[in-house]
Amino acid sequence: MRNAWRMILVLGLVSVASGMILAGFYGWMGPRIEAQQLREQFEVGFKQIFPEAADFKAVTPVEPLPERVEEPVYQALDSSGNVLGLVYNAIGDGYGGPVKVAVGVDPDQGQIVGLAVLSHTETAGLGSRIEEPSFRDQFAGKPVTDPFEVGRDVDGITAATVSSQAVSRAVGETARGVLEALGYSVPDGATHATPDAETHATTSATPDATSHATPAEKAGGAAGPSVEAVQALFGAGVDLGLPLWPVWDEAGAFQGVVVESSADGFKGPIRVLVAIDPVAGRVQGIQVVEQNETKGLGDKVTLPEFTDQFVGMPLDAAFQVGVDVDAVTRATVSSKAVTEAVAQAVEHVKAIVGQGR
Amino acid sequence: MAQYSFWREKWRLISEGLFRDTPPFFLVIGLCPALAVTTAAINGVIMGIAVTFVLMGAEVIISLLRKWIPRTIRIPVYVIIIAVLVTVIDLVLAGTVPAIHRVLGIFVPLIVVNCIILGRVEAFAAHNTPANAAADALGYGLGYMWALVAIGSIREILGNGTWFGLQIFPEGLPTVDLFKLAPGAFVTMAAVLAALNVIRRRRAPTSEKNAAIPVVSRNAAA
Repeated sequence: MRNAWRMILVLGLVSVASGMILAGFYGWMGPRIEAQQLREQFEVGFKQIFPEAADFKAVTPVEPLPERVEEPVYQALDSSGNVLGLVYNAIGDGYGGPVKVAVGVDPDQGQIVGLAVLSHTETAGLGSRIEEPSFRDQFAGKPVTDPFEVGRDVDGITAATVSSQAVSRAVGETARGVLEALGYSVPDGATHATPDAETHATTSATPDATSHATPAEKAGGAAGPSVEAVQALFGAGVDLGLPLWPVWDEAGAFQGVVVESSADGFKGPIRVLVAIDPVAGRVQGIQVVEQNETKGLGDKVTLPEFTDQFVGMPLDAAFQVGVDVDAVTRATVSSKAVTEAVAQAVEHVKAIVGQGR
Repeated sequence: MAQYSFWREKWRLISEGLFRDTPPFFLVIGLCPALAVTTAAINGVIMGIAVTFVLMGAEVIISLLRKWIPRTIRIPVYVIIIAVLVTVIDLVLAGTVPAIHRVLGIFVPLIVVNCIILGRVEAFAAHNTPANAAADALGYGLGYMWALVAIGSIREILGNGTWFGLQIFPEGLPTVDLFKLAPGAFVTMAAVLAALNVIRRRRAPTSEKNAAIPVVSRNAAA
């Protein structure tokens, strides 16, 4: 018993002493570490954006800041106290975790001044290239009203689309909101009336115009009834679904259906034929019939190594890359597009079958 | 004369860890960091300094406290002391020399799980005077350092064509990427161990040469 008390006493004393030592060192070093980190953020991150800045001062927003923004927002001041612009930290969802970027904005012009990647855990040599000026510099001078979409107005890094998207979204989804939250009016340039208009202008100018079209239009090549004709029969509020064909064998037995579906890949829409056996409740197989993905990377979604994994999948599967579908390495966006197209087709067939029962 | 034997004793203790029982090579412990961080020679130096520092602190403190720590709870007490030391060093480095702290990064917290520290504390510091414990810590710490530098050098030279950042092979000469990756660490480690065993056997007296157990396993068993 005496021994037990001695053990408790010694262990207790050691723990208390350790706690006190740690608390002491933390109290001594904590503020220094914080100051170091803040200075590092100013010196390493913010100075990349505003090289001539002498000081950074936190400003109080009038309205709540957008979701991805880390408070506070700073004003960059030069040595004589003139405001050079605003700078704040935003968080994007990268491939390997959060990506933290410092974004510099010119509130008068409503433009991005520049950005700096402060921290990330992206794949070395691929996603980590978001740090490189060749990628970052394209944001400088962009109006905050731009869509900031990789593949449209932002050039992604080859084989690192998710990382590129993380950065461009962190900028695009916050810049305008930050200006508005601080009470600046966002100038709507003549060419950038709204982000929506910009997107449409770009899409209609490029061959992938179908990507924003209705599902019926997406079917494109499939010969089917016009929407007007269908609306005349069903009423104005209806739209055509995905094109769908029943499949019969020679003896006249029902084998299943083939649905044509599409989703936006890395470079325009990917069209997929999905064969579904609704009786057995599983996917018979898929075929990528049309795509314009990067050679050697995204175009691998057409290979059996990728498409075969859909064979036999039950209709109530998740159809999600990383969950039950393995993405093609370095072609996450293309893989996700095909998977999404399959999921759409499956949803479609499930809806029809469900109503039949 | 007393002075002479004092330093002689200390040197014997230092050389033990430094040459005879060099942790990763002859004791085959502390392998996780030895394999993980040795992608470059300089990492070995930094890790070695950090380990020597913690080992020194832990051995001296525990040697001072050795009479007050009940045997049954010695391990938790050691672990707390080692963890406190590592955290304190981590904090001090972060607060005073952030540049070096950034280079060390993950290495410092890794020291907590380095079994050399707990091993030497348990095997030596718990039964010896603080001065002897300090000599032991110095020997094993520096021994650990040269071992890491050796592995790091081989991997850096073969994998990157450089040594401590200096170009050794002419630029453009093909390098073996494998040595920069985890499997390369195992290959290097195995090759170094084999080479050292051969050398040790050649130099050992004839009676030991005929021993069935290889040098490494015998040391590990001891």
